[in-house]
Amino acid sequence: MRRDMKGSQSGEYAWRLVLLGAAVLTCAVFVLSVSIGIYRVPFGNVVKIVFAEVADALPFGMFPVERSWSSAEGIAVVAIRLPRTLAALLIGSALSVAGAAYQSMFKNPMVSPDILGVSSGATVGAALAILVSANIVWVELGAFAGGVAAVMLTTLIPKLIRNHSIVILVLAGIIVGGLSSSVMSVIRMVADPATTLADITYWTMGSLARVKMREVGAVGPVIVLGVAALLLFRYRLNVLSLGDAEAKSLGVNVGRMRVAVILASTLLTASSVSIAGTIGWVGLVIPHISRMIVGPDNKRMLPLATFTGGIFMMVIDILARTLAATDIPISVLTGIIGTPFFFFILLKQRRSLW
Amino acid sequence: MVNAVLKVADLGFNYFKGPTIFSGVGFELRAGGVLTILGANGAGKSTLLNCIAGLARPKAGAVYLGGRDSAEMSFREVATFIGYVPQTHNPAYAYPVREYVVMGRTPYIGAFGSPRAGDYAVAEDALARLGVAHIMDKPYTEISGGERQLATIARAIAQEPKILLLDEPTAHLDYGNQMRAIRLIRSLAEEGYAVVLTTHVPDHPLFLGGEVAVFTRDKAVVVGAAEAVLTDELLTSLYGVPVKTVHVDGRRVCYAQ
Amino acid sequence: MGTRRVVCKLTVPVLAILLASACNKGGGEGDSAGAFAPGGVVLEEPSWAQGVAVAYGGEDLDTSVPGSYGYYTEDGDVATVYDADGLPFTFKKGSVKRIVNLWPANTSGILALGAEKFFVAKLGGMTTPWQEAMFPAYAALTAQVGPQAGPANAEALMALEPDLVIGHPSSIANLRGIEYRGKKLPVVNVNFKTYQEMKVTYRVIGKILGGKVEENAEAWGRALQANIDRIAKGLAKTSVRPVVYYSAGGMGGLGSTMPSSQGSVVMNEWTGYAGGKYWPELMRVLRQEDIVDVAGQTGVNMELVLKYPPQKVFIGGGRRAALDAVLADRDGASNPWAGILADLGPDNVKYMPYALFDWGRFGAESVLQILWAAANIHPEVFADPSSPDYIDMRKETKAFYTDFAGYPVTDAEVDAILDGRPPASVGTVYPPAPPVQAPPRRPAR
Repeated sequence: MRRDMKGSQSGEYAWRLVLLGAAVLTCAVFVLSVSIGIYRVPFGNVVKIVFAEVADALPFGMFPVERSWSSAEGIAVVAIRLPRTLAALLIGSALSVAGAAYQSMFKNPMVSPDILGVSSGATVGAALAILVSANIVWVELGAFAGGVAAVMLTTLIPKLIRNHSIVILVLAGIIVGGLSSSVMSVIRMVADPATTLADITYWTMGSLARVKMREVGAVGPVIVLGVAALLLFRYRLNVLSLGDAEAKSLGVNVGRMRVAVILASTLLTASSVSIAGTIGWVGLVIPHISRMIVGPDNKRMLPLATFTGGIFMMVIDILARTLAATDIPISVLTGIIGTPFFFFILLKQRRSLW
Repeated sequence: MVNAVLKVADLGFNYFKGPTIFSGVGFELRAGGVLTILGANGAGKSTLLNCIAGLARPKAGAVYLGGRDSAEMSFREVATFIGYVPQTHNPAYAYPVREYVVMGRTPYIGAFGSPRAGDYAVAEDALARLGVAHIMDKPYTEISGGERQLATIARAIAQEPKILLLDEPTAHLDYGNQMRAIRLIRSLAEEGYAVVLTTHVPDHPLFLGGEVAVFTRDKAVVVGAAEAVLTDELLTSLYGVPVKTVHVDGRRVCYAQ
Repeated sequence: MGTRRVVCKLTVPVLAILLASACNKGGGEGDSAGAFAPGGVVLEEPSWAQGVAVAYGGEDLDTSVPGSYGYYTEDGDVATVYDADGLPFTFKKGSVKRIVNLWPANTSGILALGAEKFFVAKLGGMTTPWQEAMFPAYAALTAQVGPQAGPANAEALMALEPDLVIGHPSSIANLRGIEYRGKKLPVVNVNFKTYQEMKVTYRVIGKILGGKVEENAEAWGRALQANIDRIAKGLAKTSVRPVVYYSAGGMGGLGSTMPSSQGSVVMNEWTGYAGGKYWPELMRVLRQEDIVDVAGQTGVNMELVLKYPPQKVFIGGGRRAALDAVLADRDGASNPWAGILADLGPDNVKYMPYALFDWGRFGAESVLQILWAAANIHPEVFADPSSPDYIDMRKETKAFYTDFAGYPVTDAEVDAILDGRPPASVGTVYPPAPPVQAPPRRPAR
């Protein structure tokens, strides 16, 4: 069955079914996420609240809904759970697709979206904004700008050295990552330990707790565009993974493709980091899981990764806000869950993974 | 030459501030013609092939595909002309052979597109022509070296090119498969492709006939008809051991002492 | 085979939905927020908090036990006092003239007790605007010492030739380990976790520095106790103990509170003394789990706040700007706090004063803090000028800074301090905090 999905003609039907199943599962987890939490809201009310929220957004008062829930229930669903769930879905998809695209582009399944330094750059940008004691909007803009600037620096280095091989790009990413770390150390030294330093550390841990609906609204379209772009390129990513020389010989303008992929992935990752802080492991593990289910062909794997990533992040978010009285930072959970899960996957797979 | 599918004029190459690898190389090839690039290891054969394929930029000279300067053509257009078969292919991902071969259709698929049924048909046809249709659904990593070679050639054929470039096609094949590969190349030439290949085995150009470009010891490249250029003296000076050519069953073969 | 897979995939979500609806039978058990009356008077605790006991306070420390914290002996001119580690600090009376203080809370505390002239260096980057206004000599010191938590620059410390080094509790061990050419730093550990220990701390420092500082330290201890007793007398009139939430501000916004699992439980202390119950402590008792802090802050689970809504919200930390934004954000859909704060009303949501240090944290201003807290938690007892229990915060604030800190503060400055505003705002029209309004309620259709 698995072989069929990865290979032949008959696999065509099977993998579409899997994709459909993943889509259904995504919807189900979404509903679950909005319905459960420490503050109990009856399921019927949840449905009504979400429906009213959507109906309110429509221009005419087309669907009158009777307000039969308490304001606290409304707050729980609309102000707390809904933005977090949407953010988790968007970020999970964004990071998975970006990671999968990079894994094709760098011909290496061990690559994560941060290989060109976008997360470390975003952290520096956010830290600088926090140092200036800017408000949260500036911190998020700073994170976004920092991430983009870091990648721009990384892509500049091959131009300066006049060597455009993929290895130089990876090394440039290491350089920029190291530079970001050093800058972060300096920032941490000068930051006021009681206030600014604590803020910086807190932000770095990654959390969906402070995501508001307007942030989702701002970042959502960017993520959707980025994911759509990479999905459109999914066949080209296959060709790209053959290597620069072969891809060129097959007619692909490798330089332009790279720019497009880096641009899309950077936008996706920078958007995610700017609203939620650094989140590790997702971009690395989810593409592997998708590959295990439908094979390495990006035409099948990439769409599945979009859903799988969303499901994973939503589950993580549910755990983050229901396990304990404190909001558990996201990175902690993705690490604790992601790493053994990854090990378990490697264990199960006896043949070569990819 | 009229109807020269591939024309190379005065090609020269050196690495950034490095010594000249070759210079002044020129030849013309028609449909069905074969050019073998012969030389010792590291002489620069692959570099010359890469220059022809457009994967490396020559420092001097030009490559003309069907009369047009390849430097002015887009990667996509060049890919409809030239099918490039690399020496080794280390796969990062275990695509099934079918997917691997259909990637040859990329020049005909738009930037946002995916292969369609027609493209898969061409790919399967190419595999069938090479006699390896049975490996179609296997992952690329699970087939033998010879089958991988054939799959890559099938991919190049799927590009529906006019020219085939093969870099050391017999490099990782055993003795028997080497012969089969060379025979295949001859039959491909007979089908109408213009073929350029690199090799360090002198028997191959002797078998294939056609033209040869030899990277001699003194960095010069001698271009000409294989029969004429590959003399005993040239071969001896090229390899540093006494080489004689003898006729066996009407074929000229090399005999090194 | 494919269908089976799909069916398997679908059973999970279906089960999940069934599970979700099963779990969500009723509303939050902690729905009730207690009853309020105008003027910030809390009539009744919420149902989930009634009967739940929150511990605070404690007995005065016994400093007469040899070797215990604060134990003092003298032998002619030479005196010995024991610090919080139980180690003796021996000094010749009146000989300690140069001190270096690496602990911000303690620094502001002893500055307020009149120890300004002893300082030879200031804490880099940690001087509050009011410290600069009240103690210009301290603020003008050129020598600086590094962040309190990191390893102090040993050479710089040595070069200052201090007679006394007060270290931050987290780096005392480091400081004690610094040795240069056989010379060690004269380090004392004056850490405290409760009001009782704070009294001893100031007494120890007073004994070491002598003179006016010693007088002030003793007077401070007496004043603290006097205030505690005075409030207790007033509290005897009511049995209601409102639930008090404190936010430290910062990136976590209002969700950032100070939990009890941290070393600093001071919020619990003054809340308890002032007649309230501290929300994180209540959570810990109710749910039998600690609210864990992350990187010195806590992002409290918002749904927990929804389920157990507080009755008083005090915002400290001096990071007003970030919180102004949160308070101004009245969009109920985006800001989960909007509804909660609107329900409480402006009488129950207050910025805490912030002068020499955050009044809500440990410091000499703690004597003022419990008065302020009591006046705001129980306005029905302490806010009536005609009542004998009346707390006049202006009078108390003025007296404190004038008598202890030696800074004759003006009425305008007192207003600024109580409002949590910096000295630069005195005499100017300062933008007031935006009023906490109810979010626009959409009409029920």
